[in-house]
Amino acid sequence: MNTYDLLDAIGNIEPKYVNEADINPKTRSNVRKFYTLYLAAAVLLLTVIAGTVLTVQKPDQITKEDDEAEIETFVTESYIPYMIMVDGNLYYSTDAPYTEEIPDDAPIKVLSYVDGTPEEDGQQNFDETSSSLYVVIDETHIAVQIDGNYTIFEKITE
Amino acid sequence: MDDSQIVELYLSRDEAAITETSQKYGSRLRVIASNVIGEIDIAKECENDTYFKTWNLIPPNEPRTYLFSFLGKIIRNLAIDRVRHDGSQKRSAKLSELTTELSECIPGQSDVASEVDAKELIALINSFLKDCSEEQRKVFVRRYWYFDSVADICKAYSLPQSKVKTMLFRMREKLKEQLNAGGYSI
Repeated sequence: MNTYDLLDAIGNIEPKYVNEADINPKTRSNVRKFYTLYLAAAVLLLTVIAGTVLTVQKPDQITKEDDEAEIETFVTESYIPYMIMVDGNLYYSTDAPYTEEIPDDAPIKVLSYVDGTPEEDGQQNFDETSSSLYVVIDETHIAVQIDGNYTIFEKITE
Repeated sequence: MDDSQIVELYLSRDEAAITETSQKYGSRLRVIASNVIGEIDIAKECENDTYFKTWNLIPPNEPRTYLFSFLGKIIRNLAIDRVRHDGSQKRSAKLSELTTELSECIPGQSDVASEVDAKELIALINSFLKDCSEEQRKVFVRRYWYFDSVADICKAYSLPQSKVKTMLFRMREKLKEQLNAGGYSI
């Protein structure tokens, strides 16, 4: 079996599941009125920015390598959540900031980086320098320092 | 015009069926194709091909209560085939991303070669979806049937991005377990 066999099988799921996930067009049309105004403002802003950028950057500086790098980034960054393993448990980022005071001696340093899912204690997939710190908040949450700020991670449970 | 009335037009070989289908579902079908292909002109070609195929499939089919999913399945397959066989996969970052994600669901090699029984695989996927919560099911279907981006799913269901990513990740793990139990492997 390959991924296209799986993709084809998913394409043949029961219609009730497709309909269940269908986004109500009427609901979208109500939102669309707001987005039209927002979009007009965004287009105007982008036009101004694009005009500024194009006067600075020559067209031949946008290379094929830049396009491929953008696609590679798009492919590799988008589908794995930030995770860390602590005491045999996987925690994932909730993106919520942790703003409580943290004692100076509480944070623990992560041990290693992995490109994918952490499988060892102290292993994480968001900091290649492995210099981030984390602190245990309670039985199901830890706070992890990313880019200088602490973010709440939640334990993944079955 | 409701779906049953549109299907009646197909059954009576009235070409207004195509017009009505296009008016009601055209934009949404193009979104599905665009999500795979990334080029609106080719997406429009897939849309037109969808109407042609639908004309030939109704009758004998009569999708009175599931016309959109019937059409969506056709354009989805057309778009995927177009990307695969035109050799334009390198340009379809979305399809590459999705196939990479789904490759996580496929168990590793086993000693026994396993041929794919398409019907059994479809039944397994339906069973998997039935066991999921409604929220999980919607997110999974939006991602792997409608080919929505994670950002689009977040916006549609007002969910944080990390929750959608984690939900998909855990569902892929669960699907892998069920495929393994079902004897499927590379």
